[in-house]
Amino acid sequence: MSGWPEALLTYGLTIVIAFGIAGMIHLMVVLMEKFPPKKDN
Amino acid sequence: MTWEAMANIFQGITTLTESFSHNPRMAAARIGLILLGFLMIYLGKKGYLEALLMIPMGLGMATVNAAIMFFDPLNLHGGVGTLFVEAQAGATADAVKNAAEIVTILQIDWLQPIYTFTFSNGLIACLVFMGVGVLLDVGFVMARPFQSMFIAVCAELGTIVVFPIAQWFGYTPQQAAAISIVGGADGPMVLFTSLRLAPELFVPIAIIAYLYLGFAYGGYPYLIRLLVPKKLLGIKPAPAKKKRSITSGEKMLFAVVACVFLSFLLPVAAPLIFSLFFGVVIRESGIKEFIDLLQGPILYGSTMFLGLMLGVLCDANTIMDPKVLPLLLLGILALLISGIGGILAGYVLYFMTRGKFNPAIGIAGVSCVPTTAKVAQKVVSKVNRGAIILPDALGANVSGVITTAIIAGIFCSLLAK
Repeated sequence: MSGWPEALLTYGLTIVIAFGIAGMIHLMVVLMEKFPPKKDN
Repeated sequence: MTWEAMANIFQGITTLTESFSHNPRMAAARIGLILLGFLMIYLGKKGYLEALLMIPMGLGMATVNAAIMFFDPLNLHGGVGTLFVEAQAGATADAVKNAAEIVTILQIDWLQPIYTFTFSNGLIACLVFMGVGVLLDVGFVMARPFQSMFIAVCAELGTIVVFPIAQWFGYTPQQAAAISIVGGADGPMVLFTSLRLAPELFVPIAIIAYLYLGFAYGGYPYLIRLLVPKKLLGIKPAPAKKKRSITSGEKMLFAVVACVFLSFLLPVAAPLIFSLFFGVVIRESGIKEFIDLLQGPILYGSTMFLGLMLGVLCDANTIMDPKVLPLLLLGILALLISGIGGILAGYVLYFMTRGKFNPAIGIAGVSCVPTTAKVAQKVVSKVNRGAIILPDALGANVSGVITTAIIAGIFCSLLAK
Protein backbone atom coordinates (compact mmCIF):
# COMPACT_ATOMS: atom_id res chain seq x y z
CA MET A 1 0.00 0.00 0.00
CA SER A 2 1.62 3.26 -1.11
CA GLY A 3 1.31 6.56 0.68
CA TRP A 4 2.66 5.54 4.09
CA PRO A 5 5.93 7.55 3.78
CA GLU A 6 4.01 10.75 2.99
CA ALA A 7 1.48 9.97 5.75
CA LEU A 8 4.20 9.41 8.35
CA LEU A 9 6.11 12.49 7.21
CA THR A 10 2.93 14.58 7.54
CA TYR A 11 2.20 13.14 10.98
CA GLY A 12 5.76 13.69 12.17
CA LEU A 13 5.78 17.31 10.99
CA THR A 14 2.34 17.87 12.54
CA ILE A 15 3.55 16.55 15.91
CA VAL A 16 6.66 18.77 15.80
CA ILE A 17 4.73 21.92 14.82
CA ALA A 18 1.83 21.25 17.26
CA PHE A 19 4.15 20.70 20.22
CA GLY A 20 6.23 23.68 19.06
CA ILE A 21 3.10 25.82 19.36
CA ALA A 22 2.31 24.26 22.76
CA GLY A 23 5.85 25.10 23.90
CA MET A 24 5.47 28.64 22.58
CA ILE A 25 2.20 29.07 24.52
CA HIS A 26 3.78 27.66 27.67
CA LEU A 27 6.75 30.01 27.35
CA MET A 28 4.45 32.97 26.72
CA VAL A 29 2.34 32.20 29.80
CA VAL A 30 5.43 31.68 32.01
CA LEU A 31 6.99 34.96 30.81
CA MET A 32 3.72 36.82 31.37
CA GLU A 33 3.58 35.45 34.91
CA LYS A 34 7.18 36.41 35.67
CA PHE A 35 7.00 39.83 34.09
CA PRO A 36 3.40 41.00 34.39
CA PRO A 37 2.62 44.20 32.46
CA LYS A 38 2.70 47.27 34.75
CA LYS A 39 -0.67 48.85 35.40
CA ASP A 40 -0.91 52.61 34.92
CA ASN A 41 -2.30 54.60 37.87
CA MET B 1 -54.12 19.08 -24.83
CA THR B 2 -51.74 16.40 -26.07
CA TRP B 3 -49.85 14.03 -23.84
CA GLU B 4 -46.57 15.59 -25.04
CA ALA B 5 -47.74 19.05 -23.92
CA MET B 6 -48.68 17.69 -20.48
CA ALA B 7 -45.33 15.93 -20.21
CA ASN B 8 -43.61 19.18 -21.10
CA ILE B 9 -45.42 21.10 -18.37
CA PHE B 10 -44.70 18.59 -15.59
CA GLN B 11 -41.06 17.96 -16.45
CA GLY B 12 -40.09 16.77 -12.95
CA ILE B 13 -42.49 13.83 -13.31
CA THR B 14 -41.57 13.25 -16.97
CA THR B 15 -37.82 13.11 -16.32
CA LEU B 16 -38.45 10.68 -13.46
CA THR B 17 -40.68 8.34 -15.47
CA GLU B 18 -38.29 8.50 -18.43
CA SER B 19 -35.34 7.68 -16.24
CA PHE B 20 -37.28 4.67 -14.81
CA SER B 21 -37.38 3.22 -18.32
CA HIS B 22 -33.85 4.21 -19.39
CA ASN B 23 -31.87 4.18 -16.14
CA PRO B 24 -33.84 2.74 -13.19
CA ARG B 25 -30.87 3.09 -10.81
CA MET B 26 -30.77 6.84 -11.40
CA ALA B 27 -34.52 7.13 -10.85
CA ALA B 28 -34.26 5.14 -7.62
CA ALA B 29 -31.36 7.38 -6.53
CA ARG B 30 -33.48 10.49 -7.17
CA ILE B 31 -36.31 9.16 -5.02
CA GLY B 32 -33.86 7.96 -2.38
CA LEU B 33 -32.23 11.40 -2.19
CA ILE B 34 -35.59 13.15 -1.91
CA LEU B 35 -36.47 10.86 1.01
CA LEU B 36 -33.01 11.36 2.55
CA GLY B 37 -33.56 15.12 2.34
CA PHE B 38 -36.85 14.75 4.26
CA LEU B 39 -35.12 12.56 6.83
CA MET B 40 -32.32 15.10 7.32
CA ILE B 41 -34.84 17.90 7.91
CA TYR B 42 -36.69 15.72 10.42
CA LEU B 43 -33.52 14.67 12.28
CA GLY B 44 -32.26 18.27 12.28
CA LYS B 45 -35.57 19.56 13.64
CA LYS B 46 -35.63 16.89 16.35
CA GLY B 47 -32.07 17.78 17.37
CA TYR B 48 -30.53 14.39 16.55
CA LEU B 49 -28.33 16.04 13.89
CA GLU B 50 -26.92 19.57 13.60
CA ALA B 51 -30.00 21.61 12.60
CA LEU B 52 -27.96 24.57 11.31
CA LEU B 53 -26.64 22.45 8.46
CA MET B 54 -29.11 19.62 8.09
CA ILE B 55 -32.27 21.68 7.54
CA PRO B 56 -31.01 23.80 4.59
CA MET B 57 -29.05 20.81 3.25
CA GLY B 58 -32.02 18.45 3.47
CA LEU B 59 -34.38 20.92 1.80
CA GLY B 60 -31.86 21.64 -0.96
CA MET B 61 -31.24 17.92 -1.56
CA ALA B 62 -34.94 17.01 -1.69
CA THR B 63 -35.87 19.94 -3.95
CA VAL B 64 -33.00 19.68 -6.44
CA ASN B 65 -33.74 15.99 -7.04
CA ALA B 66 -37.41 16.76 -7.55
CA ALA B 67 -36.85 19.73 -9.89
CA ILE B 68 -34.94 17.95 -12.65
CA MET B 69 -36.09 19.11 -16.10
CA PHE B 70 -35.07 18.89 -19.75
CA PHE B 71 -32.30 21.47 -19.52
CA ASP B 72 -28.58 20.98 -20.09
CA PRO B 73 -27.03 24.04 -21.76
CA LEU B 74 -23.46 22.70 -21.45
CA ASN B 75 -24.37 19.14 -22.53
CA LEU B 76 -22.93 17.63 -19.39
CA HIS B 77 -25.79 15.53 -18.01
CA GLY B 78 -27.48 13.80 -20.94
CA GLY B 79 -30.05 16.52 -21.58
CA VAL B 80 -31.41 16.99 -18.04
CA GLY B 81 -30.54 19.44 -15.29
CA THR B 82 -31.89 22.08 -12.91
CA LEU B 83 -31.94 25.86 -12.65
CA PHE B 84 -30.08 25.80 -9.31
CA VAL B 85 -26.34 25.47 -9.90
CA GLU B 86 -23.85 23.87 -12.33
CA ALA B 87 -20.78 22.78 -10.40
CA GLN B 88 -19.03 21.49 -13.54
CA ALA B 89 -19.20 24.81 -15.42
CA GLY B 90 -15.65 25.79 -16.33
CA ALA B 91 -14.14 22.44 -15.33
CA THR B 92 -12.30 21.84 -18.61
CA ALA B 93 -8.68 22.78 -19.30
CA ASP B 94 -9.57 25.41 -21.93
CA ALA B 95 -9.54 28.79 -20.14
CA VAL B 96 -11.48 30.65 -22.84
CA LYS B 97 -14.16 27.98 -23.01
CA ASN B 98 -14.33 27.97 -19.21
CA ALA B 99 -14.95 31.71 -19.02
CA ALA B 100 -17.69 31.52 -21.64
CA GLU B 101 -19.37 28.59 -19.85
CA ILE B 102 -19.26 30.32 -16.48
CA VAL B 103 -20.73 33.56 -17.83
CA THR B 104 -23.53 31.63 -19.55
CA ILE B 105 -24.40 29.68 -16.42
CA LEU B 106 -24.12 32.75 -14.18
CA GLN B 107 -26.97 34.25 -16.16
CA ILE B 108 -29.17 31.16 -15.84
CA ASP B 109 -28.71 29.36 -12.51
CA TRP B 110 -29.84 31.39 -9.52
CA LEU B 111 -27.33 29.92 -7.04
CA GLN B 112 -24.42 30.01 -9.50
CA PRO B 113 -23.09 33.41 -8.32
CA ILE B 114 -22.81 32.06 -4.77
CA TYR B 115 -21.09 28.88 -5.98
CA THR B 116 -18.70 30.62 -8.38
CA PHE B 117 -17.80 33.57 -6.16
CA THR B 118 -17.75 31.92 -2.74
CA PHE B 119 -17.38 28.14 -3.12
CA SER B 120 -14.96 27.54 -5.95
CA ASN B 121 -12.40 29.95 -4.47
CA GLY B 122 -12.76 28.80 -0.85
CA LEU B 123 -14.23 32.12 0.36
CA ILE B 124 -17.14 30.43 2.13
CA ALA B 125 -14.73 28.25 4.12
CA CYS B 126 -12.82 31.36 5.21
CA LEU B 127 -16.04 33.19 6.18
CA VAL B 128 -17.17 30.21 8.29
CA PHE B 129 -13.72 30.12 9.88
CA MET B 130 -13.90 33.83 10.80
CA GLY B 131 -17.21 33.14 12.52
CA VAL B 132 -15.80 30.04 14.24
CA GLY B 133 -12.73 32.03 15.33
CA VAL B 134 -14.86 34.61 17.08
CA LEU B 135 -16.51 31.81 19.09
CA LEU B 136 -13.19 30.27 20.13
CA ASP B 137 -11.73 30.98 23.53
CA VAL B 138 -8.04 30.19 23.11
CA GLY B 139 -7.68 30.58 26.88
CA PHE B 140 -8.71 26.90 27.19
CA VAL B 141 -5.65 25.86 25.16
CA MET B 142 -3.39 28.35 26.92
CA ALA B 143 -4.36 26.89 30.31
CA ARG B 144 -3.23 23.38 29.26
CA PRO B 145 -1.30 23.59 25.97
CA PHE B 146 0.58 20.25 26.00
CA GLN B 147 -2.41 18.19 27.11
CA SER B 148 -4.67 19.81 24.49
CA MET B 149 -2.15 19.39 21.67
CA PHE B 150 -1.45 15.77 22.63
CA ILE B 151 -5.15 14.89 22.38
CA ALA B 152 -5.51 16.81 19.12
CA VAL B 153 -2.51 15.11 17.52
CA CYS B 154 -3.86 11.65 18.46
CA ALA B 155 -7.28 12.59 17.12
CA GLU B 156 -5.73 13.10 13.68
CA LEU B 157 -5.01 9.39 13.44
CA GLY B 158 -7.92 8.84 11.05
CA THR B 159 -6.54 11.41 8.60
CA ILE B 160 -3.11 9.79 8.59
CA VAL B 161 -4.32 6.17 8.33
CA VAL B 162 -6.96 6.79 5.66
CA PHE B 163 -4.51 8.62 3.37
CA PRO B 164 -2.69 5.41 2.25
CA ILE B 165 -5.93 3.38 2.41
CA ALA B 166 -7.56 5.80 -0.06
CA GLN B 167 -4.60 5.37 -2.42
CA TRP B 168 -5.08 1.61 -2.14
CA PHE B 169 -8.67 2.19 -3.32
CA GLY B 170 -7.24 3.72 -6.50
CA TYR B 171 -7.40 7.43 -5.72
CA THR B 172 -4.45 9.67 -6.60
CA PRO B 173 -2.36 11.01 -3.67
CA GLN B 174 -4.06 14.42 -4.07
CA GLN B 175 -7.55 12.88 -4.02
CA ALA B 176 -6.55 10.62 -1.10
CA ALA B 177 -5.37 13.65 0.90
CA ALA B 178 -8.61 15.52 0.22
CA ILE B 179 -10.63 12.48 1.31
CA SER B 180 -8.57 11.69 4.40
CA ILE B 181 -8.79 15.25 5.76
CA VAL B 182 -12.43 14.35 6.57
CA GLY B 183 -10.85 12.63 9.60
CA GLY B 184 -10.05 16.08 10.98
CA ALA B 185 -13.83 16.67 11.10
CA ASP B 186 -13.38 20.29 10.17
CA GLY B 187 -15.77 21.25 7.38
CA PRO B 188 -14.05 24.42 6.10
CA MET B 189 -10.72 22.60 6.07
CA VAL B 190 -12.22 19.80 3.93
CA LEU B 191 -13.65 22.35 1.49
CA PHE B 192 -10.32 24.14 1.28
CA THR B 193 -8.17 21.02 0.83
CA SER B 194 -10.42 19.38 -1.74
CA LEU B 195 -10.58 22.62 -3.77
CA ARG B 196 -6.80 22.89 -3.74
CA LEU B 197 -5.91 19.24 -4.32
CA ALA B 198 -8.86 17.47 -5.96
CA PRO B 199 -11.32 19.98 -7.48
CA GLU B 200 -12.80 17.15 -9.58
CA LEU B 201 -13.95 15.43 -6.35
CA PHE B 202 -14.78 18.62 -4.47
CA VAL B 203 -18.54 18.21 -4.64
CA PRO B 204 -18.84 14.58 -3.39
CA ILE B 205 -16.11 15.04 -0.76
CA ALA B 206 -17.73 18.22 0.59
CA ILE B 207 -21.18 16.62 0.68
CA ILE B 208 -19.90 13.50 2.41
CA ALA B 209 -17.81 15.50 4.88
CA TYR B 210 -20.74 17.65 6.00
CA LEU B 211 -23.14 14.73 6.03
CA TYR B 212 -20.77 12.83 8.30
CA LEU B 213 -20.15 15.85 10.52
CA GLY B 214 -23.89 15.75 11.14
CA PHE B 215 -23.68 12.04 11.87
CA ALA B 216 -20.66 12.56 14.15
CA TYR B 217 -22.94 14.68 16.29
CA GLY B 218 -25.29 11.72 16.62
CA GLY B 219 -22.77 8.85 16.39
CA TYR B 220 -19.86 9.88 18.64
CA PRO B 221 -21.87 9.52 21.89
CA TYR B 222 -22.23 5.80 21.06
CA LEU B 223 -18.49 5.53 20.35
CA ILE B 224 -17.69 7.14 23.71
CA ARG B 225 -20.08 4.80 25.57
CA LEU B 226 -18.63 1.83 23.70
CA LEU B 227 -15.00 2.63 24.55
CA VAL B 228 -15.25 4.26 27.98
CA PRO B 229 -16.86 2.36 30.88
CA LYS B 230 -19.45 4.18 32.99
CA LYS B 231 -17.12 4.31 35.98
CA LEU B 232 -14.53 6.31 34.04
CA LEU B 233 -17.14 8.51 32.35
CA GLY B 234 -18.02 10.00 35.75
CA ILE B 235 -14.46 11.16 36.58
CA LYS B 236 -14.15 14.83 37.49
CA PRO B 237 -11.02 16.28 35.90
CA ALA B 238 -8.43 17.83 38.22
CA PRO B 239 -8.58 21.64 38.14
CA ALA B 240 -6.00 23.37 35.93
CA LYS B 241 -2.75 24.23 37.73
CA LYS B 242 -2.90 27.78 36.51
CA LYS B 243 -4.10 30.09 39.27
CA ARG B 244 -4.61 33.46 37.61
CA SER B 245 -6.92 33.89 34.67
CA ILE B 246 -5.49 34.52 31.22
CA THR B 247 -6.10 38.07 30.05
CA SER B 248 -7.56 38.99 26.68
CA GLY B 249 -4.25 40.70 25.84
CA GLU B 250 -2.39 37.41 26.32
CA LYS B 251 -4.94 35.55 24.19
CA MET B 252 -4.62 38.18 21.48
CA LEU B 253 -0.82 37.98 21.59
CA PHE B 254 -1.00 34.19 21.20
CA ALA B 255 -3.45 34.47 18.27
CA VAL B 256 -1.27 37.03 16.46
CA VAL B 257 1.96 35.08 16.99
CA ALA B 258 0.36 31.72 16.06
CA CYS B 259 -1.25 33.23 12.94
CA VAL B 260 2.00 34.74 11.67
CA PHE B 261 4.06 31.66 12.64
CA LEU B 262 1.71 29.14 10.99
CA SER B 263 1.25 31.30 7.88
CA PHE B 264 5.04 31.58 7.65
CA LEU B 265 5.38 27.79 7.91
CA LEU B 266 2.44 26.88 5.66
CA PRO B 267 1.63 29.71 3.24
CA VAL B 268 -0.70 27.43 1.25
CA ALA B 269 -3.10 27.26 4.19
CA ALA B 270 -2.60 30.94 5.14
CA PRO B 271 -6.11 32.09 4.04
CA LEU B 272 -7.72 29.61 6.44
CA ILE B 273 -5.21 30.17 9.24
CA PHE B 274 -5.63 33.93 8.90
CA SER B 275 -9.43 33.72 8.89
CA LEU B 276 -9.49 31.61 12.05
CA PHE B 277 -7.09 33.80 14.01
CA PHE B 278 -8.68 36.97 12.64
CA GLY B 279 -11.89 35.83 14.36
CA VAL B 280 -9.96 35.11 17.58
CA VAL B 281 -8.24 38.53 17.50
CA ILE B 282 -11.57 40.31 16.90
CA ARG B 283 -13.08 38.42 19.85
CA GLU B 284 -10.24 39.40 22.16
CA SER B 285 -10.09 42.97 20.87
CA GLY B 286 -13.57 43.52 22.27
CA ILE B 287 -14.81 45.48 19.24
CA LYS B 288 -18.46 44.69 19.80
CA GLU B 289 -19.68 45.73 16.33
CA PHE B 290 -17.20 43.39 14.59
CA ILE B 291 -17.86 40.56 17.05
CA ASP B 292 -21.63 40.84 16.44
CA LEU B 293 -21.06 40.96 12.68
CA LEU B 294 -18.82 37.88 12.59
CA GLN B 295 -20.68 35.68 15.07
CA GLY B 296 -24.09 36.67 13.69
CA PRO B 297 -24.66 37.52 10.03
CA ILE B 298 -21.34 36.23 8.66
CA LEU B 299 -21.25 32.89 10.51
CA TYR B 300 -24.95 32.10 10.22
CA GLY B 301 -25.29 33.52 6.69
CA SER B 302 -22.35 31.49 5.39
CA THR B 303 -23.43 28.33 7.28
CA MET B 304 -26.94 28.63 5.84
CA PHE B 305 -25.69 29.04 2.27
CA LEU B 306 -23.12 26.29 2.84
CA GLY B 307 -25.83 23.84 3.90
CA LEU B 308 -28.17 24.93 1.11
CA MET B 309 -25.46 24.73 -1.55
CA LEU B 310 -24.28 21.29 -0.40
CA GLY B 311 -27.87 20.05 -0.50
CA VAL B 312 -28.39 21.45 -3.98
CA LEU B 313 -25.14 19.90 -5.21
CA CYS B 314 -26.39 16.53 -3.98
CA ASP B 315 -28.18 15.46 -7.15
CA ALA B 316 -28.49 11.86 -8.27
CA ASN B 317 -25.86 12.30 -11.03
CA THR B 318 -23.19 13.23 -8.50
CA ILE B 319 -24.11 10.62 -5.93
CA MET B 320 -24.32 7.78 -8.49
CA ASP B 321 -20.77 8.45 -9.71
CA PRO B 322 -18.84 5.17 -9.10
CA LYS B 323 -16.06 7.16 -7.44
CA VAL B 324 -18.44 8.32 -4.70
CA LEU B 325 -19.27 4.98 -3.07
CA PRO B 326 -15.75 4.33 -1.68
CA LEU B 327 -15.78 7.93 -0.40
CA LEU B 328 -18.73 7.05 1.84
CA LEU B 329 -16.69 4.25 3.40
CA LEU B 330 -13.41 6.18 3.64
CA GLY B 331 -15.08 9.24 5.19
CA ILE B 332 -16.69 7.30 7.99
CA LEU B 333 -13.51 5.25 8.51
CA ALA B 334 -11.46 8.45 8.90
CA LEU B 335 -13.88 9.88 11.46
CA LEU B 336 -14.08 6.57 13.33
CA ILE B 337 -10.29 6.15 13.59
CA SER B 338 -9.86 9.80 14.62
CA GLY B 339 -12.48 9.36 17.35
CA ILE B 340 -10.75 6.19 18.59
CA GLY B 341 -7.37 8.00 18.46
CA GLY B 342 -8.74 10.83 20.58
CA ILE B 343 -10.17 8.47 23.18
CA LEU B 344 -6.88 6.53 23.27
CA ALA B 345 -5.14 9.85 24.05
CA GLY B 346 -7.71 10.28 26.83
CA TYR B 347 -6.71 6.87 28.23
CA VAL B 348 -2.99 7.74 28.08
CA LEU B 349 -3.70 10.91 30.09
CA TYR B 350 -5.94 8.89 32.45
CA PHE B 351 -3.03 6.58 33.27
CA MET B 352 -0.47 9.42 33.40
CA THR B 353 -2.60 11.36 35.91
CA ARG B 354 -3.35 8.16 37.89
CA GLY B 355 -7.05 8.18 37.23
CA LYS B 356 -7.74 11.90 37.43
CA PHE B 357 -8.43 12.46 33.73
CA ASN B 358 -11.72 11.60 32.06
CA PRO B 359 -10.92 9.63 28.86
CA ALA B 360 -14.13 10.87 27.20
CA ILE B 361 -12.45 14.29 26.80
CA GLY B 362 -10.33 12.66 24.07
CA ILE B 363 -13.19 12.73 21.57
CA ALA B 364 -13.03 16.54 21.63
CA GLY B 365 -9.64 16.36 19.91
CA VAL B 366 -11.65 15.71 16.75
CA SER B 367 -11.93 19.32 15.79
CA CYS B 368 -15.59 19.78 14.98
CA VAL B 369 -15.77 22.99 17.08
CA PRO B 370 -17.62 23.08 19.45
CA THR B 371 -19.76 20.03 18.64
CA THR B 372 -17.44 17.26 19.86
CA ALA B 373 -16.69 19.14 23.11
CA LYS B 374 -20.42 19.50 23.72
CA VAL B 375 -20.99 15.84 22.83
CA ALA B 376 -18.35 14.75 25.38
CA GLN B 377 -19.87 16.97 28.10
CA LYS B 378 -23.37 15.70 27.33
CA VAL B 379 -22.34 12.04 27.62
CA VAL B 380 -20.38 12.67 30.84
CA SER B 381 -23.20 14.74 32.38
CA LYS B 382 -25.60 11.81 31.96
CA VAL B 383 -23.34 9.75 34.26
CA ASN B 384 -22.17 12.44 36.68
CA ARG B 385 -23.81 15.86 36.66
CA GLY B 386 -20.97 17.32 38.70
CA ALA B 387 -18.22 16.38 36.22
CA ILE B 388 -17.47 19.52 34.24
CA ILE B 389 -15.12 18.53 31.44
CA LEU B 390 -16.00 21.33 29.02
CA PRO B 391 -12.90 23.52 29.65
CA ASP B 392 -10.53 20.57 28.99
CA ALA B 393 -12.65 19.45 26.04
CA LEU B 394 -12.68 22.92 24.48
CA GLY B 395 -8.89 23.12 24.87
CA ALA B 396 -8.55 19.88 22.89
CA ASN B 397 -11.18 21.10 20.43
CA VAL B 398 -9.39 24.37 19.63
CA SER B 399 -6.08 22.49 19.34
CA GLY B 400 -7.80 20.10 16.94
CA VAL B 401 -8.58 23.00 14.62
CA ILE B 402 -4.91 24.02 14.71
CA THR B 403 -3.60 20.49 14.03
CA THR B 404 -6.08 20.01 11.17
CA ALA B 405 -4.90 23.31 9.67
CA ILE B 406 -1.31 22.10 9.97
CA ILE B 407 -2.10 18.79 8.23
CA ALA B 408 -4.10 20.56 5.50
CA GLY B 409 -1.19 22.93 4.94
CA ILE B 410 1.35 20.10 4.77
CA PHE B 411 -0.82 18.06 2.39
CA CYS B 412 -1.40 21.07 0.13
CA SER B 413 2.33 21.92 0.07
CA LEU B 414 3.54 18.33 -0.26
CA LEU B 415 1.09 17.20 -2.92
CA ALA B 416 0.38 20.36 -4.94
CA LYS B 417 0.08 19.48 -8.64
